[in-house]
Amino acid sequence: MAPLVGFRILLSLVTLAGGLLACRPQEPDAEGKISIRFSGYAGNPAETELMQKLVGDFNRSQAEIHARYEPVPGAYYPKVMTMLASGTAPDVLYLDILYFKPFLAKNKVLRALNDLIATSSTDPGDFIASLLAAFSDGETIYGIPKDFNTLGLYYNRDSFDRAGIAYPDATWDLARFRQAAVSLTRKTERRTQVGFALAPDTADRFLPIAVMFGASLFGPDGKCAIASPEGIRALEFYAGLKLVDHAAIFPSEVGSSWSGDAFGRQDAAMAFEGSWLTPYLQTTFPELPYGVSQLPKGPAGRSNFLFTVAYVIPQSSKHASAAWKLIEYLTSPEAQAQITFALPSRTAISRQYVAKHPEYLPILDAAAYAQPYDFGPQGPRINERLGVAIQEVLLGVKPAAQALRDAAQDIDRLLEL
Amino acid sequence: MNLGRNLSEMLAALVFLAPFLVLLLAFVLWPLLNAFWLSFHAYDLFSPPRWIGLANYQMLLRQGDFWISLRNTTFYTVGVVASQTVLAFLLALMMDQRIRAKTFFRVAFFLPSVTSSVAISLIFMALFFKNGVLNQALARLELDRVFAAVGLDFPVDWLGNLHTALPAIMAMNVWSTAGFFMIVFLAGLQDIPETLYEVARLDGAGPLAQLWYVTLPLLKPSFFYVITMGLIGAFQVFDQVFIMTNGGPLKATMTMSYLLYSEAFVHFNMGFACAIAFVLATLIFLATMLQKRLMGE
Amino acid sequence: MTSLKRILLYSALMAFTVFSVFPFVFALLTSLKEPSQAFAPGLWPRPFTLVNYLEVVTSTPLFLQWVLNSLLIAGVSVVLLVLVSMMGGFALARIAFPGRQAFFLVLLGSMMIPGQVLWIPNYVTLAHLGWVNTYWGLIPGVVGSLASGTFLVAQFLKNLPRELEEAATLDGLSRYGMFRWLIVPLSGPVLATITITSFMGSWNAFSWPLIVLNSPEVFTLPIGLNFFKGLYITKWTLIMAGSMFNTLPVLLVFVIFQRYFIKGVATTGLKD
Repeated sequence: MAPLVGFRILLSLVTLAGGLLACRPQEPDAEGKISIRFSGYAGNPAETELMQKLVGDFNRSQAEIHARYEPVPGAYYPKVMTMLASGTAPDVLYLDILYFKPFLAKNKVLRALNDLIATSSTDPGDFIASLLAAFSDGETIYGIPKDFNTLGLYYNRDSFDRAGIAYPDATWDLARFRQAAVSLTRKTERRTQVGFALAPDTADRFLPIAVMFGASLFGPDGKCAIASPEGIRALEFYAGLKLVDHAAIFPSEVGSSWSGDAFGRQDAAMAFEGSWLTPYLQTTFPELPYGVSQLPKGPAGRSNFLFTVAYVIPQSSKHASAAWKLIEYLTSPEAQAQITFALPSRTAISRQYVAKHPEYLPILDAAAYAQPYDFGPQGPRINERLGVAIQEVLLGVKPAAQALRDAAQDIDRLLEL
Repeated sequence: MNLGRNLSEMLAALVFLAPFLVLLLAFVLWPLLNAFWLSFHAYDLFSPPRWIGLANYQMLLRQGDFWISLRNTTFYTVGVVASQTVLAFLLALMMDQRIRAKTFFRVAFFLPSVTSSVAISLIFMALFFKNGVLNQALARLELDRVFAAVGLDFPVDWLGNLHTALPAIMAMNVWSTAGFFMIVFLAGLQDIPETLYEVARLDGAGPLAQLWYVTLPLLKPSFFYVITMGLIGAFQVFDQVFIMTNGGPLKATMTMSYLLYSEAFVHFNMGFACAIAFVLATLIFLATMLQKRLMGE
Repeated sequence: MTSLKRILLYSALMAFTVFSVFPFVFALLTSLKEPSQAFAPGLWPRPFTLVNYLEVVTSTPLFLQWVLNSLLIAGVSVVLLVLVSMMGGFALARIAFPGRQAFFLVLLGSMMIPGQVLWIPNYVTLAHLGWVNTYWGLIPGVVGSLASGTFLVAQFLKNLPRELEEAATLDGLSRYGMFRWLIVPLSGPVLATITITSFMGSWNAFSWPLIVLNSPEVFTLPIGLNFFKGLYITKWTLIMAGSMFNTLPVLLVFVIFQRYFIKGVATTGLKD
């Protein structure tokens, strides 16, 4: 009779499971309101927390709309694409600058916002022009920039004091930076600290250096030009910090997943990071004495990139005007003043903000000359391919010249697609 | 009468088979055709599929990543299937002796194969970590000099090193499957009638000769099953790569399944990913057939 | 066997036992260490602490939800698999319908199709049905193990005596009655095998749930665990404690029901 008992247990399990699945809470507090959903990536706890608060504030201010915030952990774009493809996308989404052109190229994914802007009090002229332009196609605006970042040079004051080096300032160039990285590297019995935390597989920390050397990713003919002599020198410089000077580590070598974290744990005395690092340091390593300056200059001058994210409304949203209300609220001066992990995208607010928090000044200063981190419809793949080239050099698989030439060839092939 | 009986049997069978058939058609057979059809199309889930003939397959041949993944997958499969089969067979031979605590050993050996791939991968990540237990143990055994001799920096960053990442994952998978296949061999061994060994001994066969002339030939079906299942499993390796290395460092652990996953669900090249899937399926089929031929089944 | 041989044999077996079990012991002991001691030399936790287990649950409130989700899904999959493969296996073993051989071949053939080939078309279907990120979407993943379940049942039922049908006719049982009152009660061992293997299969499933589920609230434990690893990648004591949630229940179930498992493996391996 044992199997019959088993059957009964199984049957009751199904009933139980069915019952529990049926009672999944369905928008408990949305009574009769238009309900909209809003998703962004959930990498940064400070950001997730603020968004939660802002959406709560928004809901209290609205009589007819209820918004639900659904942060996405892990890989964000695959998930967003999945939701768009299956018609289950939220009404408001984050869209990173690198992904704007690829999304624009997809068949009817993004909704133009011009009509919504026209009937509202939001003035696009209040936003930093380069950011707004980064999410527009000609006159058509598809996204309102939520905030932005550039890279800064984060440095550990203690380490500089110990090594007797003056803190980085506007006069610093790459040669000084390299020297400092070498002098800051200290290996003792008890612990090792090196000069620089080097992200081995992403292109975004290398590209500013390439431009500082006078290289550019694309030539005037539209083809990939990163394998120029300047580009090769730049990569040799970047990889040399680790391979020649032994003044850098990969975060993974010290059990860390990104250079900001390795910097925070004092495994490295300097790192290139955006201001997302500031709230992370304040909460995770409150004791750490750090400073931020602009990235050093190179032989061909200064360079930096604009990392920015916009709020967009997918074409599939059935509540575009409610979604727009949420975007307006999230980009309002009041909401932007509460950001800690980036700079506000409104020109006036970002100035006021930096006046109050001077440690963000180098990040804002760089915006004057930074280029948007946008490489067209194949941007994410180009970015990925460049990351591979950098890693090839750092792992000693290929010399810089060959790695960049191979990458350029592949990127040109991607551009033909 | 016969026809009527056939018909009624058919009907009865159909009733009992209906749920199975429906599920099989909906989620296996129909999708199989669908995947084949998609492999000749460009499809990103947003615009309708567009016929492009053999372009996906041509692109496959031109794409460096495909060849890397093919090389990695082949290396992985050959290494894992060979080691796990041999190990499982040796274990089964030992277990087939008259020993005490058989159940204890059987349970111990089988444990790894009932544990989830995520848990196993996480545990081994901690073992393989640069400051981890494996390196500590090697240092304690003073084996670190051996690594210097073969040109590896010690402590080794097992999963971060181009040369050790794939072998590390392979070793982990041999660990987790050997006990499982041991059970298959053991069942096969226990099916061999004791009288055959007696006859062999009467003919003057020593232990090795018995192994060669009695055990191995009679164990052929078990070998066939173990190798086939091993091939199918190894060719499809995905979870461990996804969790432990994401195909890195520098594609050193990028297998065909991983490439397929990233083309399909990161880049949304659905048609192209289907082409990879068919190459993978064909490889598995060919490898199985080849094995069948070699073993004279 | 000489005593030297015996010693060698047992040492080899013990050595492999250590090899098999060590990673689990290591994980368990690490999960009981203070976070700061994660990679301190020595395996033994000094002092013992349950702080990691507490932190798993408090830092990630969803963790217990994932355990619950996994249990529910495993329960439903088991019922589905047992019912469907029991019925299918019965038809294949005990009803002499034309085309049975061909059907057997289709069944065995379908076991050869790599799951990856079906990932994309099944996913596209789910996307059109709006089943992505729902538990309905997990069905194609379960279907993969249907063929082997059906096969297992058919093998088992084939070996039951022919007289069963006659007895059923004498008792005036219909075919359904025979299935329900004769076959099902006799199928205890094979049912147990399928129940346990399909429970394990569902509890451990990774790739298909990874593709289908994308909101943390609906994650199964393995997917949640992988996500958890992403959040706390540097806190190994915590990650080890998290993986124990996935490992210990299944090891327990295995140790209790091990003979059914091993029987299942041995049966599928012997035939064919």
